[in-house]
Amino acid sequence: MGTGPTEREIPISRPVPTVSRKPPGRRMSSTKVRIGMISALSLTVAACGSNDDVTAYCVDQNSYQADGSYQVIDDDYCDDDNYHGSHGGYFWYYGGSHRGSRIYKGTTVKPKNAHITTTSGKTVQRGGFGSRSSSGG
Amino acid sequence: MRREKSTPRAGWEQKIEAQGLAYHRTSHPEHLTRPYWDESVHYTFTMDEVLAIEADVETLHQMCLEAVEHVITTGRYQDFGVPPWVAPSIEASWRRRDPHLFGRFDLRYDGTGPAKMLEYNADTPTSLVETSIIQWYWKEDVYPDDDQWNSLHERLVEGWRHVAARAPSGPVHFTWTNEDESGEEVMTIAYLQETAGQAGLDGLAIAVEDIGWHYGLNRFVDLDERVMSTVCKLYPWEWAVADLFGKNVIDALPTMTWVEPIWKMLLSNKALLAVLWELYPNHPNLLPAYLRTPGPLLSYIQKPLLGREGASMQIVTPSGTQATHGQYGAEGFVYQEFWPLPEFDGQRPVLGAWMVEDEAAGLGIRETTGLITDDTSSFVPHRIVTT
Repeated sequence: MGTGPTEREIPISRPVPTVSRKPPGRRMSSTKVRIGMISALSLTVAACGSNDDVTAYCVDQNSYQADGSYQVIDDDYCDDDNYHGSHGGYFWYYGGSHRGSRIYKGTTVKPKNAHITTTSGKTVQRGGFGSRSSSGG
Repeated sequence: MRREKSTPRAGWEQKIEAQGLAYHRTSHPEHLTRPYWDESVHYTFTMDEVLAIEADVETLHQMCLEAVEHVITTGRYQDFGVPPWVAPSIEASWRRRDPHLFGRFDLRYDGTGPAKMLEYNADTPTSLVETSIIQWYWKEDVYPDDDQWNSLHERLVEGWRHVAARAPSGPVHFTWTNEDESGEEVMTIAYLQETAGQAGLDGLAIAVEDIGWHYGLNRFVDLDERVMSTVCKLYPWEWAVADLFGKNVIDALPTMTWVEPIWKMLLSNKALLAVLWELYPNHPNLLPAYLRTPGPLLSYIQKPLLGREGASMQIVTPSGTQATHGQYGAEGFVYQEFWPLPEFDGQRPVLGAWMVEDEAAGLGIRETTGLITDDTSSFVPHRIVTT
């Protein structure tokens, strides 16, 4: 019973643990663990470390290309203090890697409640999830 | 169950980083001298021990499912801190039998008595990569003739096939929060995407912060405005429903498949511990637990209903108290009888027993010197000895 308190002498309730109902003599581990894309991703993430600053780029949504990149534009387009026009189509894009004046594999985050009007003219709201830290348990 | 020393493989750091454990440095406080992945020690189990724990875990899982049915039937959502407007969706999800994929029981086990359930991380369990991949390769490299309780990879691939059979057609979106800077969450979700891919599912990755709500369609969309129908998330349900998009989640629920499903809110909540003790008093795999009050307990651990990584806990015994920092507990606390984790060479292991669907699928062990397993813990591998 280990080192914990003594069990009281009260009849236990159902269901009680049973002996294994599985075939005897079976192997308990995977016969093969194939890993593909996470290997490359892992090496990238490991190399990044935890203390890198993340750069925010102002990008033009209309410049999005099939390769996943955006055109970086002047920060004024995204800056609330300096830019007084419509924010439609311009947003901050965090992190990512540069190739020329285009930015790849970053992420949009925040501001909460931001409305981004898309090329199709419909309204998509982003930033409605998030803003907390570790979520695993 | 024994703790043994073993020589780390040459170049183990490069190996584990190439296998997916990108975060073994970053997910661990910097002042610690012990690495997060520590293969200088490991645990050995006999097959009989493993089969006994496996049977216990599957029993616990079935008891947990009965507890969900009980909570829904009796409408005890308030005990779980579930907002009233969320409850109908939990019930509908449960009645639909929305498919579920995985979870991790944390167990107290010392090799002599029955395993005791500490909690069930049934919504967003982590330490998946180290359990499923890293320790598997360690075992293959170092003890190729031995076995390991770890069919997690194969079972996840199989589990995804079952999810695919129930889910709407189209890609599965895999989402995590990019607030996590350690890389743990992005690697965990990437691994889930990998296992789904091996089951033939198309996957797309999107940070939870990037998800959009389309007002014309009343559906969630990704950055290409593709409708999101099946979403695998490493983001707790209680946060999702509390977010700005919470109401949208509920509105869109009937048109979507979420992995894990929303009914798992009732398992990943520590009020479950008290409900289980009510339903199965004195069950050998449970510890006495009570809601809101320690009841008759003289030694207990106070756990927030919705807490993570050992935060906001307090141990109270006749000889003193001990607490961990944290800001959880707004929804209330559960009081569970305090059984100290067993000690092996000054370290205290907690057993993470994995479920995939309704079957036990493997084991991952974390150790701490303290009584509460928190983010200072190290992961150590295990093997089954053939004697």
